[in-house]
Amino acid sequence: MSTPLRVVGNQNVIRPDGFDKVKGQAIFASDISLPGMLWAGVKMSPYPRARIEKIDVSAARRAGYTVITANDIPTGLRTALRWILTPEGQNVNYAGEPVAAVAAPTESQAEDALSLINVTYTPLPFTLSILDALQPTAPQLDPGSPNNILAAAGGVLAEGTAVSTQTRIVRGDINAGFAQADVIVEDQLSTPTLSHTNMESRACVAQWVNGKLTMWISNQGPHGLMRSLASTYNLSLSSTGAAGTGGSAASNVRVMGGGTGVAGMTQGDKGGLTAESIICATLALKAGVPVKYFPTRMDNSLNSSKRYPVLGYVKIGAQKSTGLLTAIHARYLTNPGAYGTSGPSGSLGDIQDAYTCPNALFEGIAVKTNLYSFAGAFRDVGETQGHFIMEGPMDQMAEKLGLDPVKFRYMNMQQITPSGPLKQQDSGQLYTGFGQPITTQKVAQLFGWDTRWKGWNNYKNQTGDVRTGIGMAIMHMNKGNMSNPMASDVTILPDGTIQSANGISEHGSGMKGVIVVIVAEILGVNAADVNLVNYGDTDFTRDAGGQGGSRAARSAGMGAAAGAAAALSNLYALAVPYINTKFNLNVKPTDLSTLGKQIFVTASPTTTVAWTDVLKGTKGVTGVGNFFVPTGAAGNFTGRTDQTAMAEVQVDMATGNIKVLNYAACFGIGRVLWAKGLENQFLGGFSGAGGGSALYESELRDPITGKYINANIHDYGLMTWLDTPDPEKMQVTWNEYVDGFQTQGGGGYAAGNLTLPSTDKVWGPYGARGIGEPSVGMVAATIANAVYNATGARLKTIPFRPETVLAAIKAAGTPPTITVPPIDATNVPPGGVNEAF
Amino acid sequence: MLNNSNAFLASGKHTSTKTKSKSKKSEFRLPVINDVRMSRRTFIKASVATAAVAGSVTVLTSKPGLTPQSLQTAAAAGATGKMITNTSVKLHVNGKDYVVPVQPRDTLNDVLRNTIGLTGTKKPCNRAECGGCTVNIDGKNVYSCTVLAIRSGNGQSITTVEGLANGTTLHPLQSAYVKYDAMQCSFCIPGQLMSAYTFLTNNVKPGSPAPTKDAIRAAMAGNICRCGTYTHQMQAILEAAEVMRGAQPAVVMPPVA
Repeated sequence: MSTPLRVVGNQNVIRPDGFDKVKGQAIFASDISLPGMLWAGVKMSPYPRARIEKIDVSAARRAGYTVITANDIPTGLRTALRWILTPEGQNVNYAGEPVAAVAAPTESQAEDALSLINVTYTPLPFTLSILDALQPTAPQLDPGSPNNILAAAGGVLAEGTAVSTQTRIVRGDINAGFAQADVIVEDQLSTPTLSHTNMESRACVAQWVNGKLTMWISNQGPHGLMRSLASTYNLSLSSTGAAGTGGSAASNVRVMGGGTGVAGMTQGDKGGLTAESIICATLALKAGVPVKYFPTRMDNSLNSSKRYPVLGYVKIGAQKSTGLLTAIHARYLTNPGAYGTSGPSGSLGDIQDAYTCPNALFEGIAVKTNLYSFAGAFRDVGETQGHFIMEGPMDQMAEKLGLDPVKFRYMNMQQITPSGPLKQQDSGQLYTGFGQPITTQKVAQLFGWDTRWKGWNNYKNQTGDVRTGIGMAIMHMNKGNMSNPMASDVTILPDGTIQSANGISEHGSGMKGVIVVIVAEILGVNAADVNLVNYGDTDFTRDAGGQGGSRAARSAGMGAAAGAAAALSNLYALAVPYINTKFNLNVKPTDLSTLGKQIFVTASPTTTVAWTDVLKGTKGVTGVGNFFVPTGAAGNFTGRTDQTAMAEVQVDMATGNIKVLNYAACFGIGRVLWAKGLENQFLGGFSGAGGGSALYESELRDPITGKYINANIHDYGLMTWLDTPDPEKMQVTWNEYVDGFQTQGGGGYAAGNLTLPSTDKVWGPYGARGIGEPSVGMVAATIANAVYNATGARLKTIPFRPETVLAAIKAAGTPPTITVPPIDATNVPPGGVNEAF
Repeated sequence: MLNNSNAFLASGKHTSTKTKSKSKKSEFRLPVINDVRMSRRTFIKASVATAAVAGSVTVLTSKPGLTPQSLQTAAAAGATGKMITNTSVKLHVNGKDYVVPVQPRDTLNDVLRNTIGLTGTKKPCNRAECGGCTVNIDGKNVYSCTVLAIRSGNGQSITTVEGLANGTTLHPLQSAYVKYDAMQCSFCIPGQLMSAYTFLTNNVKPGSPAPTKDAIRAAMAGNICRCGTYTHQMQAILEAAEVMRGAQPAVVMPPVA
């Protein structure tokens, strides 16, 4: 780096909206209240599968409530490839499926109104589990998916949607590979349906005024939603809007990300055109007044997307003499629920790229059921499941080979280094990254693995009920892509005030912190000097895409950089003549630098002018920035993050209780932009969805009625204060690769529109990748391996509730029962498709 | 394991119509609710209808403009009793009095948020499972979603997150939460702050010993954070405790960066 960084990585930068949040002044969508506003309620199917014979809303309408059914939803619209409101004559396919909606003056009256709606169903046989659904006698849920194996064509799909539902990746020859192996491990593990259980439910408020729809909503991509709503309701978007994305005061759709650019947690559940947004907007259109839909906790649990269950078979082979893997066969059966389709279904969670084994067959097959709504995105889509299922057998293999588990991973992991050549995945996609070896090495040092490791016999050498042990796991993810759009604008007012306008959302993971750090670094000011204006409001911002796939820091961050660089460039354009006149010089913009709102000649730092002097008499400067990834570009823009975690656990053999004593992780993210945010994501991944999936969480269905019986927080089981280790027992570190996209004094990011050449290795703003997801997926795998080291019991299913642990202890050493059938998925393209979310 | 869906369907034990409870006069039966959700209200309504208690049932009424009769017929089958229309209550919140219209069924949470407009207090679950609605009433932390507004107007002193700061001076907890970044989405944070505030106010005074981490965990255990900010919150609460017990004058904020 030519200049040391001041703000990037600075530990003192605080959360830009932190003060609002602690004062209770941060407004969420559910806090919005408008005159005349009505409250929405949704009528749902009690049956997991049934034919809707009749929906009678007459009593509710007579009582004066606004009621909508499928007939009121814009023609043919379905989202997530399911009905928004299921019509008469169609089947409902999960308990909770919406069939009608009402708007009433209060929440309580909305409930009253729902009880006036009479729906007649003919209940039908249903199926809840993957293995049941594969039986020849199972009810066929969808003619387009024979044997309930989710097919690529037909079935309940929207027109023209290309669906990739199965995955099949072939490498080398696994038969030959297993023949070479003298050590084999074969096992079957599983994960249940898991729920985001975001504290903020999927709330939205819709208001129509003079044909313009305004929506306040917690949504991961405000501009994307704006476009979807425009197309749904046939509304025009302004072509004079920001960067051609159609957002401006002249557009007929305005999406406010959250209430005041503050939105609650999503973890992937609030992306795109959601049923709630359409129900809300349609009710508001019909009622002629604003409508708020603030789903109850149960409604939210029933109708949000889920982390899909996986039943995974793994067989791995290795040679004792070399310690190297010779073959991997993984067949993951996934349960996408009633309406899950592309993306999550069939995904292997990127396990295929974790190890360098020359012979492999990876199969991901989705099997439709009536278990729940639909598989969707949940932080670490597939990686949590995929790595839990793979890392247990890998740990077993290490033991059989007589190798320290860390050493075994070193010998078999992908050996990428950031300065090395691009590698090619089975799908043909090129990638680069920071490398598993570095992350493993760093966390091993941080955790003190070498001194703590007491060997595979650790559990045998302990007596008494309370045992301790350590374990580790690696995780690879094809995430953190840099993807279009990436735009923002930055304005510098004549008094030196800096305003940064960004169209992406903020859900707590720290996008705002990332943005102010980047803009401040480029403009030579403090993060606290950067004001975020109109955050996430489509009328006043440019599209920087959505939060998801851990792309935001890298992509929207580049957008923020583009805007700041553009503003600085415009400022320098004014400064040059000013300086040349004042000092009788002949400088060019490239001769200038800025710090503390002063511009100086780099080679002669005492030649300085203030921003306010340069801007005097003007209206200020605005810079509009766009970065573009060339379409079809591969490799450099693909994300790949590699991380490793280690844990020490204490297990009570009599009660099955697990206590995590120490947890450490290293993330290959290249650069820490906002330090407090990075640490927060690491801790949150453990104390939120990661630890929760490991220790407590599981959605339960009653096998007789198909009803979701723990659709609440208490019975579902989230991590609490009592599960939190002391702060000093939680340790995080990361890879820094300092040679990324360089800035030169004056903001080396080119102003205006820039298409990044695909031959450059472009890491991200200052070399950063995203950490939104990586912190979650490793926790279960790591804890499972530590529990083995403490007890000799292999955990084959999550969560590790006490009864599960006790059963595993009892079953320790018994060979696994393999029930995953040798099915051959239909409609799978040869060579497979690696599904990057 | 194949489910017994066919047996269930054949048994005829399901119904597809709205809630009806058939009962003899004095016999109490658990209501059969076939809707996918059972809310507190639905359960109470059906139980009351079943028990057929006369004269003391509050029938949920409508806003003016909608016919009370149609709602009564539909919503409270079999119930008798006088209708209670909107009443009012005087709530003392953050040192101010608010005289507000309420219905007897309104929770304090709903009145704070929707009537008074103090939306700092959140509503994540509405069933006493998460603590996101926590307020302080007369020195105790209380789930406002399970307290009726009409029972909160008897001179109680209610404090919400909006009442923590003293004018423009933040409470040490608030400063500490910003310093340690003890939040992410922050939907749970008002409730967390109120529980922490209650604990520290009741247990930490000038000269007190520092609270232990386990004591903090126990005090805060009724507040869930899905973002997993507990560790940073722990650090923040420990520093706020130092200020409140006089061991340091104020939360030392980091230099501007």
